[in-house]
Amino acid sequence: MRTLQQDAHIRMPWQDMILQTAVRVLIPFIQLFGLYVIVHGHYSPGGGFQGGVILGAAIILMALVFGLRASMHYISENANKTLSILGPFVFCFIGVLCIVFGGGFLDYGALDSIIPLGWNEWRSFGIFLVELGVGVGVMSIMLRIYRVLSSAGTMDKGL
Amino acid sequence: MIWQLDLFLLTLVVICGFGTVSTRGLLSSTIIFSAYSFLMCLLYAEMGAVDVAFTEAVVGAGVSTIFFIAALFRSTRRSPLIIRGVDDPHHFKDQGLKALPLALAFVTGALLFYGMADFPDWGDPGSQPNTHVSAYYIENAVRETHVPNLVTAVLGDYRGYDTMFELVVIYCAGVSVVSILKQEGDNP
Repeated sequence: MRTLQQDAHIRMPWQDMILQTAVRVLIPFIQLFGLYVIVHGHYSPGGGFQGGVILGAAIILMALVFGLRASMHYISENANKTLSILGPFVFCFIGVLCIVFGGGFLDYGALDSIIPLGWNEWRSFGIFLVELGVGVGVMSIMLRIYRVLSSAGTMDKGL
Repeated sequence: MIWQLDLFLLTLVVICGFGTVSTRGLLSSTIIFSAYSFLMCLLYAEMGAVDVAFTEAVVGAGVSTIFFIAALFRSTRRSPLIIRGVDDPHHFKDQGLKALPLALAFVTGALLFYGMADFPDWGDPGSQPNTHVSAYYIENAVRETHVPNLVTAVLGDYRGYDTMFELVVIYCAGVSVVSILKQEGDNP
């Protein structure tokens, strides 16, 4: 019984010109949409988690069509490692910063004493900062899981 | 809520569920599972939980399908158990229907249906979960946090702990997948 991989190697998708041209046009728009979903989460459905997954999916699409190496050139594995811990770190850091400035943990209103915007306005802005952390973390974790799964752990050649 | 649309979507969900389990090819099974997720997403959107629907569409129908296919890529196209069944026509005949699991499944299903009778009506304003903290959020969240989307306000501010540890759980999942699968050697 042949594996799916052996089936696919009859025709390598990363040599397909139509796919490559279409995806090259598509990826910036997908990333823009992902950023929009993160930033506009205050006003419409969406937020850090969904936007982060969309951003990750854009780079997964790149890895599918141009090969894993090309996506490694775009975000290297070491950078991705750093980004994936940066997300939870930003979240915790903002939470602790709130304690330092005299509030409870994740009590964003306390950050008012850094830049005076008003207590309630800072709660909105604090949510935004935290969502950015969630977006970055989820994006790189999704990408990392995909890279390890698709290359069977070698991080060398993908699907 | 339109019950005709609900019924239609739920029927398709059940069909997709059966299709996922009974299809022979693992690749087709994955694609049907993706369709199942997308139908669940439509159902959530139709019930008004747009944020949940968005997450289901992005994660359930999108990325998890890619993960399944990436894992399948190193595997065979068909489920080995069924291949044995194809090669040996008596394979399934010998097994027959197992009486005890079937009875257990029916009893569990009946108990679930019995428990369902106690559920509050959909969108009932007097039900227990809708009278506890929801009223406070609806009245005060926009004034207190200046965030018009209540879901974001609750997730990011009032329930910030939950969201933080959700992110930590996702990080742990990523780290465990990497630490199981990663092979040491030249690291690009």
